[in-house]
Amino acid sequence: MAKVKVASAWLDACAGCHMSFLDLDEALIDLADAIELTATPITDIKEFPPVDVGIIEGAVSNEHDEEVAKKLRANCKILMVWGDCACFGGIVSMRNLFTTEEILQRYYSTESTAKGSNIPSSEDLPPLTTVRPINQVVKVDCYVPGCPPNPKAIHYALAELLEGRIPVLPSEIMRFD
Amino acid sequence: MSEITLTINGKQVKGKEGDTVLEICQANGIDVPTLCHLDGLSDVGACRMCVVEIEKERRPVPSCTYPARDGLVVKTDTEQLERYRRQILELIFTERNHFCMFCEQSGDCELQKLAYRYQMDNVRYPYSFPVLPVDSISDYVVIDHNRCILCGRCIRVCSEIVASHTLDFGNRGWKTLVSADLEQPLGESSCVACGACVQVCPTGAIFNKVSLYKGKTDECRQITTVCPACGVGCELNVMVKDNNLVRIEAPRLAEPRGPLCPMGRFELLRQTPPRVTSPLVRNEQGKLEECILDKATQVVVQKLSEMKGSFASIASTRIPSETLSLFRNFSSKAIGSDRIDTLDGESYRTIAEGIRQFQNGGKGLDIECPIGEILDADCILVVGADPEKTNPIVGTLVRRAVSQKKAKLVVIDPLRDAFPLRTDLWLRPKAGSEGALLNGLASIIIDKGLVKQEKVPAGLVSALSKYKTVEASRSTGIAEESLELAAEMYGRAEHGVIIYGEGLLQRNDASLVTTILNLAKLTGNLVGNRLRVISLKAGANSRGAWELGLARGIKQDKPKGLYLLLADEPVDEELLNRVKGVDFLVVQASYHSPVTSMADVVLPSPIWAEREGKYVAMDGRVVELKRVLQPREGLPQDEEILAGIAQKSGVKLSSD
Amino acid sequence: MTRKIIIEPVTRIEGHGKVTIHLDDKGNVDKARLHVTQVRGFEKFCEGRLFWEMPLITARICGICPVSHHLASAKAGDAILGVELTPTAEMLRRLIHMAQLVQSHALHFFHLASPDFLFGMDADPAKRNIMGVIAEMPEIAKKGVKIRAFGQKIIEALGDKRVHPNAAVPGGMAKALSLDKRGEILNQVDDIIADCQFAVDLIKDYCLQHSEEAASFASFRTGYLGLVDTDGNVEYYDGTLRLKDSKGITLEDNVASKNYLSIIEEAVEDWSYLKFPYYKRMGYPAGIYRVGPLGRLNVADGCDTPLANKEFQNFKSLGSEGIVQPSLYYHYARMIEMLNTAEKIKQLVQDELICSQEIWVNSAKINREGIGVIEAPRGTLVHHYWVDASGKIEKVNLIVATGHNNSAMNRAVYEVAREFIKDGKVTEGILNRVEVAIRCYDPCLSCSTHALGQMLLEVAICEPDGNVQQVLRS
Repeated sequence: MAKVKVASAWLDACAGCHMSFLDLDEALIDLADAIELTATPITDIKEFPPVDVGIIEGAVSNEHDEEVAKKLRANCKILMVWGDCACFGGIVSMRNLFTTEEILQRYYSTESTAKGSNIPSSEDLPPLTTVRPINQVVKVDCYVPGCPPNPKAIHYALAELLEGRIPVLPSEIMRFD
Repeated sequence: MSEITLTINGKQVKGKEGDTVLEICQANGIDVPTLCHLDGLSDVGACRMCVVEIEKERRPVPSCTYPARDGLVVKTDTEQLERYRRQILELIFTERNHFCMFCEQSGDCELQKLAYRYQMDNVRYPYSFPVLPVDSISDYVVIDHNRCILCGRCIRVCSEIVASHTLDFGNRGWKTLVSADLEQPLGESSCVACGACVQVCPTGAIFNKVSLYKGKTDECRQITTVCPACGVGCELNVMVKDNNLVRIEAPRLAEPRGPLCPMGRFELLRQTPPRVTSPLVRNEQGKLEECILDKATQVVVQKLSEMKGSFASIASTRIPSETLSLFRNFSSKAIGSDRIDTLDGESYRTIAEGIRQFQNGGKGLDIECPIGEILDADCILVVGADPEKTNPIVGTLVRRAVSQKKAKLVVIDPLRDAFPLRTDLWLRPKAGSEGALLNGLASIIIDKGLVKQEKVPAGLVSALSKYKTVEASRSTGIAEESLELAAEMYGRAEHGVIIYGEGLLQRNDASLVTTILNLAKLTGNLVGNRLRVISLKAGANSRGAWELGLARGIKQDKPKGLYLLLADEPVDEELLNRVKGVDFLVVQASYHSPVTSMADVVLPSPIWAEREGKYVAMDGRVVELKRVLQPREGLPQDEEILAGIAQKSGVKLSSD
Repeated sequence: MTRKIIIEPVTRIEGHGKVTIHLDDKGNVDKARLHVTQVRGFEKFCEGRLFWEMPLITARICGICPVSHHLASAKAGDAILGVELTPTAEMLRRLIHMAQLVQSHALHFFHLASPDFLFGMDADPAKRNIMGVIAEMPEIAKKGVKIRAFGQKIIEALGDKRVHPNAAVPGGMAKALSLDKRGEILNQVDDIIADCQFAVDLIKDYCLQHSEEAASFASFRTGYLGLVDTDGNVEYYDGTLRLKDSKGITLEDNVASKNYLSIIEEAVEDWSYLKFPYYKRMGYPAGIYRVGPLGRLNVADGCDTPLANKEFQNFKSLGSEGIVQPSLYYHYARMIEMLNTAEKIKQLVQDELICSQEIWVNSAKINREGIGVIEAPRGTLVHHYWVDASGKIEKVNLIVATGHNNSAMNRAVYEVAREFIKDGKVTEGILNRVEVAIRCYDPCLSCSTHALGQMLLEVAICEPDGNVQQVLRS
């Protein structure tokens, strides 16, 4: 049976959900028989090829994130999102309670920052947006909340997908923390 | 109440007329989700999670406020209802800022549990991100408005059960906030810090600073025991994890005697290190030095024999009766003295003498009524007492009577109004004239004919002749109209209760107690053969200590030697003064303090959580203190230490 | 001729980064930069929260090293409460910290970096990853998984979760270690130490066989910073700060961690969101220094466990005056640390006191300021909080491990680009080498940019006039 092709990305995220995936430990080795990782943060392929399953961790917080989310959505049949940030906005959305100016202002004037420093303004930096969960940018097919999701929850979701079903986490393994 | 029959989800179920549909569902094991409902509080239908379909009603209704009728046909779990409930959850989550990942309550949160139940793995609405405050100024309680779902449970418990009426909703619409007084920080408001709001809050909006992150409910052992902090003897649910105190809750919060106070709910969790972890003896250089128990015992035994006859003993009344009984035997046999007292013994002697005089020599201590009588009072006299400070649950009951039964409240105290927001009349007699005031009230009551002539004991009228209104007013410095008003209030009351405490007892005048008892008897304020009089006792086991004969008193001058069984009693100026100037001081205590610093020998002692035994609460109930923590390894219990000293002194102790 | 090559994103690191390389007229490298395009905002959005919550909030700065932030935050909280931990609480904090160092170093080496060493830097990108290692060298992959799982399970035992655990609280720890769990650790630890030794030997051999490449790959002078204990050994949890210059001269020693501001300052460049820490007295950019495994081993005099100390001495012989300079040796240093921390786990659990239940102290006092400093896997980590009298956060300052290495990573990228890009010729293998240079530092870019966003790794090769010609995305 052909391996299921998977691509993933992390946006405004801490990488904890991908780490939780790696916490499958030995089950990871079994999974290697069934799935093929293409473009992910832990492999060296840079552009998303067409895949069966796309996975996003993290929220959308700038225009570049939006592009990545849209690109992955366009290249996958099923889009799954991992973690509270991708499902709900998560802890990174706490920055929505402040203005961008306030945030940058503080960061560049902390007690250890050289006096008189200016906020960087290079055009290489993508414009910031409100922090949003993925489903406010592209259509999402399934969700695995958690901060991070328990490896068992990730395993459940992947196993369901491999069986050809779209998973909805049962209450017993759902968590928001 | 007649029985009614409803059809719920196709099944016939029975209920009582007057119940709500929700109550009938719950009584029949039909699970309907709720958030703002809490057994014991009024229902408001705020959250709408409990919506049900009722035949002939046009739209779903909240079952918590819908009165049940015979013949209703109800559906609680249709697909549409379940979709509404999911929708409500999504609206709640997007309305404010619910960050579960660092919330103290996560795993113990009713909102979160419902979100899991409804498999809410995403939301369809945009988040609002309102900027909301966190009120953290109180010593114990934090209100994080970001997590509040405006269910109002905190407001209802604060008014209906605790009767403090501190919390209410402020502003309107989506700017509504739970507010203390007029938008004061909680720690600067009329809040009594009882923590009921913490316990009833279904989310992490209201939480306590002392227990943060120490353990979730299902990680803890729960033990029901009694509070060691004062004589009321409230029931506590103590939660323990890894042999550490995590949290204390009220097992039956919604009942009148249910709420706790900051001493029982929060202060008991705090330990005031450092703990005494080893016996200490003052060495030749004058410094306290750690040593083994044997050595410390030797030193005590030697001193006891050298200073025979000039030793006295004092015990804390936080200690259960079994240990106190042993201590009494220890005092008489090993110390060889009948000079024994408790920390609050003086007050107790005044009370006992006052009762003795009232009964003309009888022994009955059961002359006082249970504190529950306060709830039904229509007039309360608070004489020289500050219940909200010393026995806060008594304060709670007074507040309830005032707000729910419209009881009249009269405070008699030269210095303080114990209930500044609620008192109807505050009488401030000149210091030392309390007796004249109380007798004056009795005199006015008789003169106004507020009691039947036949009921007035012979000789009383003439005894009170010098306390007529004018004389009483002159002696006390209180206006005649005020005296008459007070006499009217209490004299006309059907259910008048008198509460008195330290402010009165510190006069050391037993006749004041007798006068109060007479006043109650005169006006017929009895329940059974007990008077509606309550004296506030400081210690959890003050009464038990008295009954065991420990509060005999240390007469004459200061003893040369003193054995102080302090346990974990908090130390104050008064205690320090009692032990100053003693030649040889032995302190058996849980914590180091200025008192142990003055001691010649320091011995360890368990804290309340490591003890078990019986207390006699101030109303005479015998209650059980259960051990909730394993004592520290290697630390001897009080009994072992006392027995060891006795044995080395050549006497045998038996506890009876 | 203008070319701008952009590698975007840099893979097999944590976070995102963008590199631009400017060519001169001859097609040789003129300038190279690592751009951090992300700012996440923790230093601002924590204002208004309570300091008790900070260990759980700041853990979310990073999913690979959450325990580092969790502990540095708890230490700042201890300082705010003004308490000293019970002996058991301190042991448990050290245990979870060692466990996380083991797990993070294992993750980085086996899951992220090893494909370059096992398959070669020019190998086919499709297999140059953990799945490739699993397929072709399953025994090595299994060792990596096993070592990582060992660390993660200890974290889980103490905090209920492997990532973002609920383990430390200001004043102590939330959970005691059960005798059963301690027994499990004792049973496994010798095996794990042997596996760590295997990893040290693996990288040691690689460095030996490629010694010329190793000695010259991204090799440049900087200072070094790390915590040391009272004997001058590598210290991860407490200790004092020591700073050495590129020649091994000690510039600062015995600096209490709460005085970090006296030696560290951060510069800002217009083209990167990430700040550039430097040694205050030497100014910027002269005072740049490196942290993390290479930094720590360079400032220290030894390791406090036997096997690791032996490796330490061998390692030092690769340099002069006790300084080992080239970037690739970061991996070697990292594996020595993994061995050291595994041995320290054994020492900690051998003492039964670690299972006592006296794990936290209460305090009603609140000091207005607290600083917690710790050695995270990637380097020195500083959490500095100011609170009001009720415990609410007024200000936060964070200096995150990878941030200290910002200048060095830029330098590394420049050196590698300059060495390999000649006459404007660029291949995929060369670009991977640029990434390899960055990977030496095991950067935790989400951490360092505890501000917002991501770090794209684009290598943009630009003409002198700034025009971009070629963009290679990583």
